Amino acid sequence: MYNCDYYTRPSGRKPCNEFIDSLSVKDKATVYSKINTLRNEGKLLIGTHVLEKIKNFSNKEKQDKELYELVCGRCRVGTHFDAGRRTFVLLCGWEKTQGKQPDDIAHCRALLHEYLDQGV
Amino acid sequence: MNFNANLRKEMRNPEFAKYYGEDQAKMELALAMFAARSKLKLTQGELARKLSISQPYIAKLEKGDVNPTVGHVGGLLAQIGLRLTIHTDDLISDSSLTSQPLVTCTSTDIKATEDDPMGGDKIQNITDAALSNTIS
Repeated sequence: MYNCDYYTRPSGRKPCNEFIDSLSVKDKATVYSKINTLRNEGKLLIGTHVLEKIKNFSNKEKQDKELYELVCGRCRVGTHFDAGRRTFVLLCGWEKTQGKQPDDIAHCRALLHEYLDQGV
Repeated sequence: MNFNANLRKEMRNPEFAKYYGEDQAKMELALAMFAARSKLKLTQGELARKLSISQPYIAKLEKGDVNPTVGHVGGLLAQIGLRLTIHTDDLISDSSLTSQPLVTCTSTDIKATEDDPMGGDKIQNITDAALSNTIS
């Protein structure tokens, strides 16, 4: 069993929480279900491709450690695994849209760096 | 508000609960399929060839992206010597909302013997045990 926490930005906003709240009931239920499974199974989900590592294709030398996307139908949730706390930090979410995905991932990466800079 | 509290709040909506339960059941099946394949040390392609189905279909099953019938899954598992076992449990077991699955699907070996080539004795024993638990 792992923990799943919403990331809270220094401004007090919770991007992942806000994203989930903006979804339809069906998409919201799917996202909650996948997060619950992530909580139970952790990185075992990598084997099923429900959890996938986010790779930095533009700069292969500079890969982010423990940055993943949780595949929830057409939605994605960006998450960072904090091994020390056995916690998945839910950074943000986005709908997979052709052409928009790189921007969403860049935003997710920026949130990860913001989180790591806080040194929580 | 944390994840548990949010989930508990959303569960008050029956439409949400329905979709949530559907996805949880599909994920339980996905994990059971993945575990079964891992146990056999097969790739998705190898398993697909063994079952005469496509590799993308195996991938979808393991991601919880498809909604196959129980009979279809049972048929697939039987071809690799496994059977599907299902039990129901409380979705929300207590106030701490420990994540109990609505339906848990696992795959179990079918042990065939000379006297019982289909492994029926084992199935009967499991059924009897389940019934006695229910009655008591």
